[in-house]
Amino acid sequence: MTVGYVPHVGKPAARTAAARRRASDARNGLLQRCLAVLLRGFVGASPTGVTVEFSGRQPLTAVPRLLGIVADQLAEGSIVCLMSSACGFFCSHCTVRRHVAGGPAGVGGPLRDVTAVLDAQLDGALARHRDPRPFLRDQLRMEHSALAFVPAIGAVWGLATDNKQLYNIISFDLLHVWKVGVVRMVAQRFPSFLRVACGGQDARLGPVTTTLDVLNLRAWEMGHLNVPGPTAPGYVGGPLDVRSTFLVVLPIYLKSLFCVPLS
Amino acid sequence: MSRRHPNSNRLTPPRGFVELHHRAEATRPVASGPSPAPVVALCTTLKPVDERESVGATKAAHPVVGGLGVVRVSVDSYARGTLAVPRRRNVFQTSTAARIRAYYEALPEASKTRRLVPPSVGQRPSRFNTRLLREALKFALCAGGPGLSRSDQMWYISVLLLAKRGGGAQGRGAGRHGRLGGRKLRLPEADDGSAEEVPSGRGEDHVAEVVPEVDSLDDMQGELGRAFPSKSAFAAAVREEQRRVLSKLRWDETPIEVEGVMYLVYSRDLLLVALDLLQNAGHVQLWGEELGLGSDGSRLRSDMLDSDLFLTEELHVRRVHGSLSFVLAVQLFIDEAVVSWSGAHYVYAIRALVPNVRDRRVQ
Repeated sequence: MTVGYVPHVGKPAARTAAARRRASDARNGLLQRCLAVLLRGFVGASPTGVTVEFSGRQPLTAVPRLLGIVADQLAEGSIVCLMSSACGFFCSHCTVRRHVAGGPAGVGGPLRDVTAVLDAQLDGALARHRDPRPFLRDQLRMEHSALAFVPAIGAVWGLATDNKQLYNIISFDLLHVWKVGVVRMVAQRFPSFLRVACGGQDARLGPVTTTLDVLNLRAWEMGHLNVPGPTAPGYVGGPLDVRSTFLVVLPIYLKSLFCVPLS
Repeated sequence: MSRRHPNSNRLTPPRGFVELHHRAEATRPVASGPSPAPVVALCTTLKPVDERESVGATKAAHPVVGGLGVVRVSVDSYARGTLAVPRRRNVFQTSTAARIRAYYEALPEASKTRRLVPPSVGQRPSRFNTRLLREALKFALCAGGPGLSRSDQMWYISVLLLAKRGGGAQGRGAGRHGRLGGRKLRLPEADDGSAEEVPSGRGEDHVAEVVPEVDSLDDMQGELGRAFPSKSAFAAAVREEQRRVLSKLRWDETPIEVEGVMYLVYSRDLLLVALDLLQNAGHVQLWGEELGLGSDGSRLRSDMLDSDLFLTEELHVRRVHGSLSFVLAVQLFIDEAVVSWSGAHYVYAIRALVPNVRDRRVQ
């Protein structure tokens, strides 16, 4: 069900760094403020709950919780106000360094500290209001690879408090896969993965063939809206052009297909 | 005021009070050793700022104004003038979520949200109250994805009316309204075989030739004709129905100014949407549960309500709010919300799913 629309923010007219920075700030800020407007009532009710009465039943307390964010890689980074490319910690879950990600040294990176990142983002946002010059955000970029914006979904109870599920509600993180730069090889092994995942007939979409059909249908529906990562990971020399490879779109749709059951 | 309440006057400094940026100078002549560390210097001043005064001293000086925390800043910064002289202020320790909420509630758009359509519009009954009318409305709004334009809606109702009459109205009333869409029409004559040669690039010209505008109730037949006495009445009714539904669904609009540009954001209250879905659903699952193990010993998973994320959150919610509480879970789908270079769309939809509602027809 559609609950809101995010307006379009166009490209900057001038080809200057300041114009690009303004457009980027507008894009990030507008998304967060749209989410804040959308979640206003939801946020207010999330700590205390809402009394719901079903016919013939005693009153129950419905406690609103945001338990899923389904987005592509770029939108995911923007929603939690993290840098999505050209940064040190590109993963939204952990703080693995980009030059070791994808290798044995990148396994088991420490998880992100939700409170520390949000506090830093709050301070960064306040500093950005006073002075938008980008060098004032360097500390935030170096320490957390975060943007100087505050994720509006962090106001929902349970994401930055209690269990701190802010980065866990993005249930299938493809950033590791996406940024590895060998997406073609991943896609080639994708049917084997599906055979294992769907082996017991208990996967969300059924057996392998059905899932592949849905995957291809989704790829066809999305069409030109697929956006690859703009930069390659650090250990891959030179720019990586993955736009021409059709198979690179497949991992994106894993997120929407398996976002729920793989958590 | 100052005379009647001398102890409550906070504008007058108390006796013996030394301004903060003068304290280092005041202590420097009496200091014999090397100058202390900046923070320590605060404690060696005549009257430390953060020192709670005794009850007896309160009568002579101004009372200490409340506050949960005191921030120490080095004296040198004040002496150099790089920092403003601090004033005691209330510092409320709170959660990160509450701070984020306060941050966004302080933004100017927080008080600018208004209903897109007044609530009174949503109270009116629908004019599309039969199946035929609803199907006609559905086609007008959904054809080709974005629906028909206003002129195409008028063309569409003309075709429907023509079909209702069995095409017997050709030529009638042609002399009354010979124009449609601002273009001069060439009406076919009975013995003129050139009707097919008329260009019909957009289609409406072609239909206008064979179906002249009929705006009289006498010329109408059937349900459509009675409901909409003219083509423009149908287009107006479609527009009015859109407004009625928008009002009923409580769509809001919020002007947001970002980087000097004003954007209009259309949204609904997510909480009300989720509660509406919950109340109107036929099949609801309020509490989650694990599905157990499969034949090979692996854990079975079906959807959100048996996931670890949901079960963990549910455990915490029921511990805090009692056993008569449940998690109203919401998933947000924000695909392509920040892809502004595709050029395909100018707004990007945010969709929501309530996993508690098992009846997929309503979502």
